[in-house]
Amino acid sequence: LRFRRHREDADSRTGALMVAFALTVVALVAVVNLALALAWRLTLPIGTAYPSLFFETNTLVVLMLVLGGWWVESRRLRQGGAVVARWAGARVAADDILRERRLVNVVQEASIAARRLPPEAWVLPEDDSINAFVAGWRDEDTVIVVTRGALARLTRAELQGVVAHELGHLASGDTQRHMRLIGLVWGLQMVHGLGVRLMQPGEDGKRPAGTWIGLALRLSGYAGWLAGRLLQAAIARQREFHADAAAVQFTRQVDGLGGALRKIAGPQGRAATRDASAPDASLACLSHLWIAEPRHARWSLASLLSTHPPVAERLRRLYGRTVSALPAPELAESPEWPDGPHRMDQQDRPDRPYGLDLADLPFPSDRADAIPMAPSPRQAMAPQTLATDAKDASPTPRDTTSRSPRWPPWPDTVPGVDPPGRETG
Amino acid sequence: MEPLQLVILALALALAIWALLTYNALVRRRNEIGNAFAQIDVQLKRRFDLVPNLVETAGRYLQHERETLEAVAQARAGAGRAADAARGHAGERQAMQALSAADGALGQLLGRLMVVVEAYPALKADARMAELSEELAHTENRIAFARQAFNDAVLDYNNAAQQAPANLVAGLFGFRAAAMLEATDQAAQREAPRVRF
Repeated sequence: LRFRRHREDADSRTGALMVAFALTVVALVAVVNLALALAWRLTLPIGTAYPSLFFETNTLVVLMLVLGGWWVESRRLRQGGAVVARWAGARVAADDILRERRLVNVVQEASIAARRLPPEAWVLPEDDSINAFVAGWRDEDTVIVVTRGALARLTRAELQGVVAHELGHLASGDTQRHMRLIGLVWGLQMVHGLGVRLMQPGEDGKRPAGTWIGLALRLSGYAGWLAGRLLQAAIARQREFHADAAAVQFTRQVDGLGGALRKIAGPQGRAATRDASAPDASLACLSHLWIAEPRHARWSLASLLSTHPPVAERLRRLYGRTVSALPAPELAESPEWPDGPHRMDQQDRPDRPYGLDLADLPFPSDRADAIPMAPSPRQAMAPQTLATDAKDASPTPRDTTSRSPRWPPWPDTVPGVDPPGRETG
Repeated sequence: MEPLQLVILALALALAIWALLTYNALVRRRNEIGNAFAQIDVQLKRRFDLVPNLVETAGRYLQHERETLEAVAQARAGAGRAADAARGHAGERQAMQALSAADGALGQLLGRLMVVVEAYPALKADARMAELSEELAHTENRIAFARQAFNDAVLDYNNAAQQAPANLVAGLFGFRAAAMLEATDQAAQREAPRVRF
C-alpha cells in the first residue's frame, strides 16, 4: 500500500529535520560566542583577557532568550483550539444549516476512520477560498476550521478528503510539533531583536559602546532565525505530504482529497484564495495549519520559506502522475439554496403520513422518529410541488454541477476515462 | 547460590516478564477488536433507526415503488436479527459472515432506493429528503469507516498474535486468529449495480 510508504518516508525526513533544528540552536550558541569574542577583540586593546565566565554568560543568555521566547509563545498557543479559531474569525458550525450539518457529519465519520475523538467543527463564514485548518493542544479542545468557500465548492467526498487531511495532522501530533517550532523560531528571533536594541544610537546620536556586540548578536541572531524559519518550513512541507498520505489511508480513496487539491489549483480556486480577505498576522502565523497556503509570498525565498509544498507536487504524489486542475464553481446545495440557507425548522410533524401506512410494513415496535428530524415547511406544499414538476417535465437544462448529497457515492471520474470537458495534463 | 543458578533464575524471570507483557498486549488488542465491533454495532443501529424515516418520506411520493420500500423494510428486520445474533461473537467467522450478508443486503436495497429517488424530481427536491439523503450518506460512511477500523484492529491483533515469538504465548493461552468483515460474500454483491434509464 503506497500511503504507508509515503507516511514512513515523511516521518524519517521529519526526524532528520528535527535533529537539524536542535543543531541550529547549538550552532547559534557557538556563533554568538564566536562573534562576541571577535567583538571583544576588536573593541578592546589586544591582549585584554576575557572576563571570567564570559562564554558561560553568553551561552546562558542566548539559551534563556531562545527557551524563554519558546515558553512564552507556547503558553499563548496552548490556550486551546477554540481560542485560535475565534481569533481567526470562525464560528461553530450550525447544526441546522444543511451544508454545515454535512461538515459536522463528515468530521464525525472521518474521525471514526482515524480512530480518534472528533474535533469540534467550525466555519470561517467570510472566507471564500477553499481552505481548512486544525488547532488545539489536547484532544478535547481541538477544533477543525473550514472556510465557507470549501463548504460551497467541494463535493461531499472532497470535503471528506480535506477533513481527513486535517485529521492526519492531528493523528501524528503535527499541531503540537508546530507550536513548539513556532515558539523556538520566536526565541531565535529574540536574539536578533536584542542585537538591534543594542545597536540603536543614543539620544546624542553617538553610537553606544555596545554597537559591536549588538552587531554580532544581530548577525548571528538573524542567521539563526533564518535557519530556524527554513527548517520550520521544510518540516511543515514534509508534514503536508504525511497528512496527505494519512488522508488516503483514512478514506481509502484518492479522489476525495485529490479533487479538492485540483480545485484549489484551478483558476477559480486560486482567484478565490487571492480575493479572500488578506490574512492578517494571526492567520499568517497559522499558515502551517492550513491545507493550502492562504497567501502566496512574492519574494525569492518564498518557495523555501513556504510551509506547503506546491499543490502540483502533492497531486503528483497522490495520483502517481500529473493531473490537471479542476474548476471550482459554487455547487448548488439543494433546490432551495438560492433563496438563502435552508434551515430545518423545528415544527410539528404531520400526524398522519400520507402515502404508505407504516403499520403495513414489517417494522418492529420501535418508533419511526428514532432519529429526530422535523420536516421542513416545504413539506406542506409537497403534493403541489409534485404537480408542477409533473407538468413541466424538466424542459430546463439541469445543472450538471449541482449535486445533492446522495448515496451510494458514485465516483466523479472513471479511472482512466476523462469525462468530457475536462482536460488532463 | 551458584552463579549459574543466578543466571538461569534471571533468564527465567526475564522470560516470565516477557510472557506477561506479551499476554497483556494481546489482551489489549483483542479488546480493541471488541470495541471496534461495538462501534460498527452502534453505526448499524443508527442506520436501523434511520430507515423508517426514509421509507416514510419516500413513501409519500413513491406509491408505485411499494415493493422496493417493503423489501427495504424486510432487509432492515433481517439486519436487526443478524446484529442480535452476532452480538458477543465479535471476530467469529460465522457470525461475522451472517452479519455481513444481512447488512450487505440492506445496504444494497438502500442504494437501490436512492437510485429510485434520483428518478423522482419531486422527491429529490423535497428538503426533508435532502436531509435524509445526507443522513443516510453519513450513516453509510460511518458504517464503512467503522468496518475499516474493525478490520484494522483485527489486522493489528492477528499480526501481534501470529508473529514469532509472540505466537508461542498466543498458542499457549488460546488467542485464536480473528476474522475480518468481508464487504461481499456473494458473487452477486461484487457486481457493480446496473442502472437503467
